[in-house]
Amino acid sequence: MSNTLTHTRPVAVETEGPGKPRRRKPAVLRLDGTINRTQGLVLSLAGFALILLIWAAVSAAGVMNEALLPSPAGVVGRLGEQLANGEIWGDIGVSFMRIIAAFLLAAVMAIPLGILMARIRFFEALLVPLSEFIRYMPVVAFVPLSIVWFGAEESQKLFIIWMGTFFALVLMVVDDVRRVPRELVEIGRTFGMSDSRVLRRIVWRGALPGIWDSLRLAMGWCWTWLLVSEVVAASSGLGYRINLAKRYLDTELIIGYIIVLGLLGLIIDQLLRLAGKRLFKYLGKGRS
Amino acid sequence: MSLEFSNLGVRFGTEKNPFWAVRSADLTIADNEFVSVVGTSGCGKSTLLSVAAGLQDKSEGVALINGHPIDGPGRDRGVVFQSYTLLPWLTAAENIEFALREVGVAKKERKDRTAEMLNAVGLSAFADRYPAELSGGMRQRVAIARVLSYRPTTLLMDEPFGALDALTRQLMQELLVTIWEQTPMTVLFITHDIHEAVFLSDRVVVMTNKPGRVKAEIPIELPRPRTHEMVRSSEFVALQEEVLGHIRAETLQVEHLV
Repeated sequence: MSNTLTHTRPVAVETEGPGKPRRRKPAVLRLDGTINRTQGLVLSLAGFALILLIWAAVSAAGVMNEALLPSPAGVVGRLGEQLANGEIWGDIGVSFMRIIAAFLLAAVMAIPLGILMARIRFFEALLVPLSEFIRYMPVVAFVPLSIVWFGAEESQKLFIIWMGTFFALVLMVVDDVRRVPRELVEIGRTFGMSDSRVLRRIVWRGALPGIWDSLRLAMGWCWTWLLVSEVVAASSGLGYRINLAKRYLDTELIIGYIIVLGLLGLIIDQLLRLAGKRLFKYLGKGRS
Repeated sequence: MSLEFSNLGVRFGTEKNPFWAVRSADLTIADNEFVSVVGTSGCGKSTLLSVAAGLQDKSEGVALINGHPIDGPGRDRGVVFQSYTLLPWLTAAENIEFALREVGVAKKERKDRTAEMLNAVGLSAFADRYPAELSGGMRQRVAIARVLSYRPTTLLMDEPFGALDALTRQLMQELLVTIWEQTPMTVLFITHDIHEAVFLSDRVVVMTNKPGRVKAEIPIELPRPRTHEMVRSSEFVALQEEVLGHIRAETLQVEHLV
């Protein structure tokens, strides 16, 4: 005990001495610290590698039946087959069209409505409580109803994706539009601009960066609702293929498609992020 | 243009639980007169400006511009706020052109006037910068250039230099006073900075708190052109003390220091 003390004391004094700087944590580990490009890249890849490694180890150890948990190599091989026979492109194409259609429909409705709901009390009172209520209805509960109404048609997918996206999106647009400073609206009015002109030329334009971010989020939800609608009733698309693979216990394809879905979502989100960065360069730094 | 308020009242809140931001306020500003309104925060001075701008409806009394009732905003009255004055997606020049277009200035004239006004506030070199790339003082200079570009006859300024550091504020005051002395306009200038009010104005109006009404009017008979050497003169200091005397008791009360 006393030995430990005599050993640690001089070290403590030394580190706090004026000449010698106290050893600090590396910047990447510090609270609100910094990271350089290489460190960032290495760490990001390490995260992926770690998951892959665990997966490979578990499947190699044979703790789980190979039919249930295929090896990474098996999944890659199966995806390769799908690429070779071209089936995957058809699946992605069909699903992608559904997402785009439903996303655009939701956006085209949510943006003008959101602008009105945010800035005109009449529309706020009429539609905000209603949207908030509908938003809390579980969309999954509408799936059986959607099949009764629309069958397994395209309109059923459109309805489910729209339902899952529109009501939440419109409320986010409302928030974005409310954040446009009142002063900008008032300045517009002092120029003699009409209400509708202020909404179009100042409020909408001022809210656009925020709306862009909300649209990015909504795009992410679209993938979820696409899969929900395709898994329950479809004869094409990524979700259909996954559901089909379940029957044959083709877990290699299921996992492969799940990874593809993740990648597609990531790619689209990054494209939207980069486009936003270019479009809203005028906001300067402080916006990623 | 002259501005006239008599027995002006602006009420917020509900019928049952009213809050009078301004009540029984009387104030007349003559054509081409520079009047500052000072008062503690929350005394309703900004509300007074909003009524003059036509952005806020009055609840009672009379509000006239050139003898006509104020009914909504108009191009005859230009407004400068403390912050969020420029459209962030437009450059300095585009912000001015935007205003000129909206007030109906012909396209071929817009470019010339924009260049002229940016030059007047010394920002020709920054014409293509976005607001995020400008300092706070530069942004307010663009806002002033923008409002002057469409030649309103009345200028309404709501603590326009309130967010600037002391030195920039001083330079902005000199710029404004110079512009005004060259091309006089009717100015209603809201501030809580007594020094600023005395330096710029023909007359300083002190407002009381809750409800806001006009408590005192102090004519500022300092010679023009005003220069920053004047601020050390005994007259200047005496005027500042006089305004402070009216406002001090009020401030102590508001801040619960007595």
